Amino acid sequence: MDKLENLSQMELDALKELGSIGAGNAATALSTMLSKRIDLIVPEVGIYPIEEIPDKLGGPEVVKIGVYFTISGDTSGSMLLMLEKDEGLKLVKIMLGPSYKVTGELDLISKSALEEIANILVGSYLSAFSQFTHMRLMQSTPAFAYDMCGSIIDMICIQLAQKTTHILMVKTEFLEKDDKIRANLFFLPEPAALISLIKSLGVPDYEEGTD
Amino acid sequence: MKKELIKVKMADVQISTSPSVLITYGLGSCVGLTIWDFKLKIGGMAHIMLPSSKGFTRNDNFAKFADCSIEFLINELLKMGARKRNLEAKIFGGASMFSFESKSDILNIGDRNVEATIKYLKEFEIKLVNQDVRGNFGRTISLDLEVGLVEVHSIKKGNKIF
Repeated sequence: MDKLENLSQMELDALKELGSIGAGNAATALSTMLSKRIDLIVPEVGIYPIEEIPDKLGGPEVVKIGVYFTISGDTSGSMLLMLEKDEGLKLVKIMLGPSYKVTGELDLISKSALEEIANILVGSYLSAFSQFTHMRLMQSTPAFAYDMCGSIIDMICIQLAQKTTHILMVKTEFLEKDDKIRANLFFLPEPAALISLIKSLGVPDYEEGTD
Repeated sequence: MKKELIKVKMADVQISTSPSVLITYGLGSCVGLTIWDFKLKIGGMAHIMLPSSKGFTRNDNFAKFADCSIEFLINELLKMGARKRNLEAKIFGGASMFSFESKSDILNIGDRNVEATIKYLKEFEIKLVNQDVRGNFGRTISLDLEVGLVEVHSIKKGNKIF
């Protein structure tokens, strides 16, 4: 099964719907934690050649925060929360309240606050996923990086490049009304995992290995 | 005169002549390889993702593998009149961007890419004259074909010339 680019529109729509459910759950969790209304922009689901992924994330040289998780269990893949430093510091400020002075730098406390936010987002995303698909999913501990986009994403690309030439990317954008906090959550499942995902969604006519 | 800037994407190989600059952005675990002929002032750059093409189907983009992209670079440069003994290789990247408790194969991919690239350069009898590899940070590299120098830019360590 190395033909992600042959997914039908119906299958893509189903995956997009699944992404929406996960993202909705994650937005609710974030809203509750921060006591602020967090909206989400309908996720983008696309199949892209691996080589184009850095460009899809905004360009390989753009400096961003990345919090990375590996997903294991009944399906495998990666999740990555990506956001700009300023957006990250806004989130830290909201989370830690006025008593914490944000220095403008990503200190240890900011990093660990962001890891925790990412942890909650990913956890709630996956639990919606699990409920819907009846799959058992586990997330790793978060791993933090602040660096060029290309360098943050390339390990995930490499991991997937061993099995496929194209990647399914589910992109979710979170938006906090007043502060306009933009954060992207990417779900990058391994191709084999997609078969079971699509099957669990009950989309008809999915054929394996029509190579 | 501004030199032409030629971008090398992930899993891509580009070759050019002086005066121009080859650049690839944001190397993490990937390896950036430059090969330069100091007599002719021609050279190439590869942005390598994986150590070896063994076990992959023919449909794969060859440029993502260390073995294939090195072979391609050398052959193309030789076709342009380069001599093997005049070729100088430099390698960059191969970082581990994330630190996890468990060290699985995939997390060591940066190391494996570096080792494979060095091994294949030796097999093809190309001199490795400089390197800036591993660590936990991303690198952007540019090769100025006029002088053969590679500038490494990173947000953690600033700029360095190799």
